[in-house]
Amino acid sequence: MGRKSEKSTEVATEEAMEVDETPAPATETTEVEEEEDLNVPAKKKMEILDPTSFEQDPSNLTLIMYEEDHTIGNSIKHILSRMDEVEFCGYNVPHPLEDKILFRVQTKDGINALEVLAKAFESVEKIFSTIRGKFEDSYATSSS
Amino acid sequence: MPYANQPSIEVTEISNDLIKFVLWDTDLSVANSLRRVFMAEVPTIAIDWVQIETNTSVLHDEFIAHRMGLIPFISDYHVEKMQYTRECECAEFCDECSIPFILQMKCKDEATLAVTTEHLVALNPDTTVRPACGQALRDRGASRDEFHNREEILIVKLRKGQELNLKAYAKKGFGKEHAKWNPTTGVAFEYDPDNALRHTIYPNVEEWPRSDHSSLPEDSVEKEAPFDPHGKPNKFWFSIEGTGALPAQRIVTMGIGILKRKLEELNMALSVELQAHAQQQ
Repeated sequence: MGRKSEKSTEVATEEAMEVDETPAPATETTEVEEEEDLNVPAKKKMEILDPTSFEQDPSNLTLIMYEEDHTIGNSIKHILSRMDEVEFCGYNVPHPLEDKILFRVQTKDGINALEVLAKAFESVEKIFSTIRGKFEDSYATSSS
Repeated sequence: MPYANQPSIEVTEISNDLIKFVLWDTDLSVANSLRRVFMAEVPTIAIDWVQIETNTSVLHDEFIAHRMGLIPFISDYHVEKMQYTRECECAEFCDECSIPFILQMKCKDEATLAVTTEHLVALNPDTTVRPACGQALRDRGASRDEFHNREEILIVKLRKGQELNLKAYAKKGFGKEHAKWNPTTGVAFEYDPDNALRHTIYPNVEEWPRSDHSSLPEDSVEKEAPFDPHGKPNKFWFSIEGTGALPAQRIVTMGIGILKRKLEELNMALSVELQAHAQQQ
C-alpha cells in the first residue's frame, strides 16, 4: 500500500503530465528505491486514510499515526474535544498488536482538520512544557 | 493557549529511588500520559544478548540469559549518549550501541559458590554502566549514599566442578519492548481519594482503607464522599519508585522530554501532510 502511494506521488511530481513513452525509467527508479528501503526502512509516521475524500472535504479527516498509542492519543483527543472548531473527534487502537492509532476529526464547516490538529499538538506540547518547567522549579526548591 | 489550562506541580518527597509529587489543574488524560511514559518509554540499559560458552550449572542457558536480562544497570550517565541497536550504523555491535560484559566462574572448592553481579566484568573498565547494586554503587561515591548497603544480585549458585562462562552485551531499550528496560518498580497514581466520582465500586466497603489524601473529616465513619455526577478528576498524586537504573527525578524529566519529542515529531509529520495537501488542492 505504501509503495503504491509512493509511486503515484513520484509520477505526479517528477514527470508532471507529459509521460507517454517513459514507463521503463519510472519503474527503474522505484526499484532503486526499494533496494534502499531494504537497508534503511523509511518509516512513515503519518498517513491520511482515504486522501481523495479528505481533499474533497478537508473538514473530515481520518489520520493513521504509526508507533503511537493511548499515551499521546488520549491527551490529543482531550484537547481536540475542547476546541471550538471541532464538531467531533475520537481515536481508536485498531489492534493491540499493531503499533498504530487511528485519529478521527470532524471540524465545523470550512475549517481544515489538519490545521486544527496541528494546533492541538502545539497545545499538548505546551502543557508538557509547563509541567516540565514547574517540576524542575519545585524539584530545585525541595532538594535545596 | 486557549484550550489548555495551566497545570501546577509540587514535589512532596524526593530521594534517589523515590519521588512523590502532586499534579493539579490538568486532565486525567494528561496525567495518565505521564504515568504511561514513565513506565513504558523512558530508556534504560539492560543485557539483551548473551553468548554462553560453558554452562554446567543447574540452571539451563535460557534461564541464565533471562536472569542476566533482568539485572538493572546504572544508566543515568550513559543512556542518552547511547544509540538504539536498530538505529545504529554498525552491522552488529559497536561502542555506540552496546556495552560488552564477560562472566567466567568455576567452582573449585567444596563449598557452594554464589555467582553474582560482582563477577560480571565490563570489557571496558572505564564504563559507567555497571549493575545497579553492591560494589558498583558503592564505587559511585557519596551521591548515592542510600544505596550503600545494597547487596550484589545473585545470578546462579555453583557446586564443585561446575562452570559458567559467558559473554553478554547490554543495550539500550524501553519498557514497551521488554519489561526489563522498565526504569520503575512501581508508579502509584491516585486521584479522587474519596471516590466521589464513583470510578470504582468498593466491593466490601468495610474493608476499604481510607486514602492518605482523603479530605473526609478525621472522625467520620463514612468511607466515601457523596456521589458527584458532574465532577472531573483534577488533582493527581504520583509516587514513582525507580529500580536504581535511573534516579527517580531523572525518570520524570526524561519522561516529559520524551513526550515533548513525540509531539514535535508528530507536528513535523503533520506539516509534511499539510504541505502535500495544500499543493494538490
